[in-house]
Amino acid sequence: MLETKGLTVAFGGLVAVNQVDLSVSPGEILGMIGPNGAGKTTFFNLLTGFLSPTSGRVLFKGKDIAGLPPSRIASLGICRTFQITSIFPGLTVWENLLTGTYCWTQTRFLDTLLRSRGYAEQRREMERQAGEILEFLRMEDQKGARARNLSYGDQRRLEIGIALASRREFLLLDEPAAGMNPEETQTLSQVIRQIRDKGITIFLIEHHMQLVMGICDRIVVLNYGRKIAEGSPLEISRNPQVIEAYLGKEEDFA
Amino acid sequence: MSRRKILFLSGLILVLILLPWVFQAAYTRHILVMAVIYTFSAMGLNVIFGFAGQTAFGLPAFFALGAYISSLLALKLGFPFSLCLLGTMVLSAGFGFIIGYPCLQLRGIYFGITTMAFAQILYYIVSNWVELTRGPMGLGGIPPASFGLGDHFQFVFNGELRYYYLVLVASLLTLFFLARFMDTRLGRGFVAIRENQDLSASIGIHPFWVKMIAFMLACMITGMGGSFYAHFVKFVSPIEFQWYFIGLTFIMVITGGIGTIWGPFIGGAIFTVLPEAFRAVETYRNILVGAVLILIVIFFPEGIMGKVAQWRGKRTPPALERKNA
Repeated sequence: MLETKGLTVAFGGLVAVNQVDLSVSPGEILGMIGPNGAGKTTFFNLLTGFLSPTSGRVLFKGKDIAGLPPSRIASLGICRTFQITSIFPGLTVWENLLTGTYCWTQTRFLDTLLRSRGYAEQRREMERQAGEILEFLRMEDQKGARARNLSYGDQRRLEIGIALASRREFLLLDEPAAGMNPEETQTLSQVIRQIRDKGITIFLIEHHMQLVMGICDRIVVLNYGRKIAEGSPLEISRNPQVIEAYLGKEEDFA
Repeated sequence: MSRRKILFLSGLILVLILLPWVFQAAYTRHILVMAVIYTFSAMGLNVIFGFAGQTAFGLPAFFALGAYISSLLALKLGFPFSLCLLGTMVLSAGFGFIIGYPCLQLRGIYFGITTMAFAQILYYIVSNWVELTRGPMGLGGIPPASFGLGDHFQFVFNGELRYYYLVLVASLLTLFFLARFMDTRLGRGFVAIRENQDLSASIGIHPFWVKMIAFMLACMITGMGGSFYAHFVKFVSPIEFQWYFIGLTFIMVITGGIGTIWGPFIGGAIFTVLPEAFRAVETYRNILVGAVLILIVIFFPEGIMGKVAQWRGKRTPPALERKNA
């Protein structure tokens, strides 16, 4: 579904992402872990067009999307969430979800002006989609609440809701569990699994090991911008290089 | 639409229709016309500033620009009023594109300042291109607005009363268009960018082009106001580019209710009428206007229509609430 080849970005002398080759297969949950500053979010920014790579390619369904603007990449089928909670704070939960449908709806000014049948049909479809997500995220009670007044965990769920409303087939989640309590994290794992079961491919960055190990089919480890390991959760947890990256090298103190 | 809302709206429109019969003097009717004309300016600014969240300080200059375009189309090319108005709308949007293209590369306050710089450039061009604009002397002898076919079926909007109804219908139509427009995908795109530009991009909204459309639409509406102004006052001069006017337009939008449909209309009307209403006490006029402004900001921090929305138990800006009504 998505493939990167020798993906590299350098900021001056700092090579933030260095020659990363990686592929995501349809229907899987791929996790990306790595110490702080390893280049994970930068990597996501490269995939979604928020940054242009210095060299290398990003192939999405065979098409090179590296360097395209974010909105174009979204329209091709990729949606992302952000590390820092990113919602439409002044709008209600319901409006947030309706706004998320932008990708697959049309402007149809004449239809809207005349309130024609075409308008009503699109409106109904948008509301059906938003209602479905509301139910899926169990946020029906918050439908009319302004997003900025939601609890932190609810805001993060809403963020995923907006991404779902966009009906993209490939979802990038940047630390979805950051700052969540254990209960919320538990619910989140279930939500992510259910999203995958809807046929959406998921690629996520996460520091919460229990979550990553629990739901990912495969994990990629990044350190200093390089991919240092790739494999199943079990393989990764036993990989000496990964342990070293996280805990440091064992040394003899004689 | 709920029955209460229909009742409220038809009541408001009825009042607007009856106003010139309550204030029958030519002078008060003149003020009423001006109040409606300035609602265009406020509605235009509301599109880019209220809905799309871009602080376009220079936008009010498009009012003066529109007035000049319309006058020149009438005086130099002999266009009938309908073509002057249409031409002003198209050309204002065109100038919006030319100015918006470089300015919209910048975000936030930098965008705002650059638009203001362009507004100043426009001012200098208009005041110095004497062969075309007669410079500071201004353009006079602008023909009155009229509609019709040929020479025999002309309906001339001479006199305050006729002009009042002309601009009122045009203004309410614009308001209606805007209200419906904000219910389209593109309209939601404006608001999305105001709320969170990066998130907007990640769900497929192209920030640059969507902001560009918002800016051009804003320029078009503001320019329309200028066109109506020119054919009413029949004289335009570079004074219309004054900074004072920029501030006043922002005051209109903010006190009326940023990002609401009716707010700028009401704010625009209030802040045209107020300075005239206080003319009787000339010495204290500006102090009184300032006092009213302060009172509005204290008691209606979200603007008049923002407060109305609160009273009606709705916590979101009416702009987006509409579609659920």
